Amino acid sequence: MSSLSAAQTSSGTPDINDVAFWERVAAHFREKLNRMSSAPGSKRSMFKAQSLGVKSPKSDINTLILDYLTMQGYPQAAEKFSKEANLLPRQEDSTIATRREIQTYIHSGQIELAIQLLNDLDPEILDSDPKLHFSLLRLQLVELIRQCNNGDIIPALDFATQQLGPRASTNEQFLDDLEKTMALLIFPHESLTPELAALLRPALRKNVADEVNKTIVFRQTSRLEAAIQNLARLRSWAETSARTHQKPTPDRIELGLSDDSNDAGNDVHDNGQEAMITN
Amino acid sequence: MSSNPFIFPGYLSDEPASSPSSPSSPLGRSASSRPVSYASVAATRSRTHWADYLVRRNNNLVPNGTNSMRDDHDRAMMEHHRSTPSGAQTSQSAQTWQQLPKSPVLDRHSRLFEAFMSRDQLLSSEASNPPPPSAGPTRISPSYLQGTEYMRKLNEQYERRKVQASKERDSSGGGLTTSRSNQSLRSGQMALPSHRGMTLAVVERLPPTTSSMQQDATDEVKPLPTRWMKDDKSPPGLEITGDGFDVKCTGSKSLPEKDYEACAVRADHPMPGQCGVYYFEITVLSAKSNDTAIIIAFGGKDVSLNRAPGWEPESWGYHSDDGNLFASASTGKAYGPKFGVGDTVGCLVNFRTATASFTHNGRDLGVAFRDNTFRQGKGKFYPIVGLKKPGDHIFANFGQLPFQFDIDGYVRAEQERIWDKIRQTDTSNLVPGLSEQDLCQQLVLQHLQHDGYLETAHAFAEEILSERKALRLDPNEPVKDINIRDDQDARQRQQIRRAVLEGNIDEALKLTNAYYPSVLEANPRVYFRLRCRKFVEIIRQHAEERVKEQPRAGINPVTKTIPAHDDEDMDVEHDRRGYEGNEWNERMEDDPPALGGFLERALEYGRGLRAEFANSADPEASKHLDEIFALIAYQNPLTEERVAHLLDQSGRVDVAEELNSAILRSCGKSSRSALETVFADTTVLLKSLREEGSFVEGAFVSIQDILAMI
Repeated sequence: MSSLSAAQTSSGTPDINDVAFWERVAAHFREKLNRMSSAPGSKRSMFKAQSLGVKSPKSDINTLILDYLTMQGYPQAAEKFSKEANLLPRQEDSTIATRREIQTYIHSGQIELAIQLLNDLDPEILDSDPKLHFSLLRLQLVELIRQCNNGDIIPALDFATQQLGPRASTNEQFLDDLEKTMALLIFPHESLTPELAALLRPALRKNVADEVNKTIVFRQTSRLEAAIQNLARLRSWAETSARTHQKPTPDRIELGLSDDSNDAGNDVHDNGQEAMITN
Repeated sequence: MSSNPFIFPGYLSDEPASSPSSPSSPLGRSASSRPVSYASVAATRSRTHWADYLVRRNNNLVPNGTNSMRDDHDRAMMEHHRSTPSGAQTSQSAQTWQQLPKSPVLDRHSRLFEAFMSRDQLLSSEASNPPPPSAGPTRISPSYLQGTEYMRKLNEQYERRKVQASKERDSSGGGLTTSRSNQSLRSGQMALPSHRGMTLAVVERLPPTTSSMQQDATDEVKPLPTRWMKDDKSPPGLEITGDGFDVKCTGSKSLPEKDYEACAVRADHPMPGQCGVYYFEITVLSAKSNDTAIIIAFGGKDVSLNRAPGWEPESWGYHSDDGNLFASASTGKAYGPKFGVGDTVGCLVNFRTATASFTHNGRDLGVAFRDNTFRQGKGKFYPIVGLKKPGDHIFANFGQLPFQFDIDGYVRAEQERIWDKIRQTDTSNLVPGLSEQDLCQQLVLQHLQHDGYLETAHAFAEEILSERKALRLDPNEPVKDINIRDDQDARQRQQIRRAVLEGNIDEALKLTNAYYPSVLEANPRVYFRLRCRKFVEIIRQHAEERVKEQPRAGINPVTKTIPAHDDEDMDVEHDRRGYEGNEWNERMEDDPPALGGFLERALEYGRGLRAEFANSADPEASKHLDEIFALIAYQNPLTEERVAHLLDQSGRVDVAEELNSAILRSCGKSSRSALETVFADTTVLLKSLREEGSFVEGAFVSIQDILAMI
């Protein structure tokens, strides 16, 4: 007896408004779809079987996680994780915390504080990397322009001429960046070209913060980024490459993240527990 | 080529005059060459030892000048192999090679050779100190393949077969006590009839088809060429000596010289495409006359070996007499320098680019052939060497010694090329709409929840949230929350996992049955593993107590490796009964330290185990039972090399993860987090990119590279 007929008979005549009925119908089709796609011999099931045969050692996975939390600068999580998973911390908590503090300043637009803290941490870092220094100063200019929107533009102009002008003359890219930023003063912010509008989005703060973090991490560890980023790239490259070279590969290889995001939409879970919502 | 001290013993010691047994007798030959393979194992494993040995032995014989030249050369060689892989440095190191003072070529009849010739002395020193049987047969692991997935697989394969072979010997032999002598006896018997020596007797055996392998054929990698080997096509008049690295042309009385144009020989295995790049070198040791030709080549299995390699279809070669290339044709193409006595030439096949090139005394001569059949050849091309005149003598380096050419640098450059591509890969196709940063964040967060690292998950979620808050332009803008499922399920699984990890199997069984009553029934294998682990823990606890009782007996510093909380774990045993059918339900703290009762308890529990699983259809099960029961027989199993791994704590992790996966499956959940799936899927994809017969890009990268970055 198919699960669909079961769905019908169990509740007698189906009621169109009966949510449970429709859920059973949906379950039936999901199951059918699953059976089809996981039929033995299909590329998909063969790939899955192969993949399940691969050991992904917990120790390796845990190493990747701690590395990520450390490199990206999540001090609380890194500390908790090295305790829960019984691993040696990769960096001192305080070092990770300082990097996080700098990132937070940049994220929230407090560039001057970020530069101060950065100089305290590593006095040579900005001198040794003019590009990074310029990025920070330009972001500071953007923040000044944001603050003076439709108001007093003198502080922004002063900052631009004193801090950015001399640097921009040394480098064409800097000059170009500065000119675009200054255009923000002229045009109303509501009707900017997409290129200029992007300067006012938080993404710029995030990018600059990432660059700063990378530079500090590199000076501390001689590595630029978390290993898990390379894992993601390797995964993407390998899939593309396998398709290009016509290796038997299923049409789609799920990451397995989506199931969870569906779950996260529900507040009630299998065991009837209320999902805990942080903050 | 007299500049490399390591090469001498290999070929000269097999001069007929110095060979203790007649080379015409295959039996005598293999018997005499077997210990030498030990010697070469030693040589490869500890070059320094070898070099020292030779220098010490030669101090009286070799004039000082020559001797110091050798030292310089050796140092230069070390330097050379340490050099980094950038293109500039490769050419630089090639230059270094050119600048090396070329050693005076010794006349092959020179008495200076005598030092290297007397194999008997060498043998006696090595034979008096034979490597332990566990050292096993010679394995060639070329430096440029170190750290590659291919080499890892090959080593695993080798270890598996060695274990299998030793198990077979054990099971066919007597009890435990006689196994050692039995083993050596058997290996001796095995080696004798094989003219390949015992080296390959083990390696070449097909994997037994027991379920313990659980490896499908696709997981196997092809072996590396390890020596020259005659086959039915080999012309007479060739002699292979010196562990199979040396080839000599002796001429043949039965065939007048004009009847054959050259004689050639293939290596024992084709070049495996799975390694991405294959490289070997030959050194011309002697060439009798001026009109001879020595040919370094590769080609298929059916290539005639009676003509110069390169002339025949499916063969490609570089000829010494004119420096020309021959690509399956009898007309050549100008390519490189001529070469002769003392020169080392190398042959490099790149299966990714489908090209082949040659090297001359460490210098890359550039691409010689470009042919898609190299790639499509599915590994059917063998290293080949061709000799023309009696007296021609070459020595091959299949990777048992350092190479003259900086092949390590070449391969590293190839690897770096692929990694550059990977680093520039856009990951947005993995989850549309998710940036690389966000993707990594999601993967980490999901894994933390999936595996029940709840405290970390909460801390991480909070840090992500405050990041999002800081990034807001308008402080009143709402921030998207992150739901951390604080589900009971994850906590329960974590509790069970912890119990297993602490060695408290009874607790784990009890908890599992309380929380997930059907899991153990549905997964008899997991249940079996848990019960066996319990037995192992009994033995382990006992062994540890013994070690503690005799702290000054100096048995082994095992106690140091055991976390302090370990003993308490067993005490946590409460009055609760274990799993039904578990006959070991006495409390552990009642276990008297006097240990008299220990044996009874262990035996009793073991008998119960045996009774419960005796009818198991799984042959693995009874094998595993035998294995762990044998633990009782040891005074201190923790220090017994053969069994100590059974007691290792890592065994707990395996059992814990197996149980955790079974529980997850029973709840209808994926037994793996997305991150683990990514890890495994990438491994599978990379494996497909290592298959022979296509662009073997995967040969140059492995998932281990990523972990090595950390």
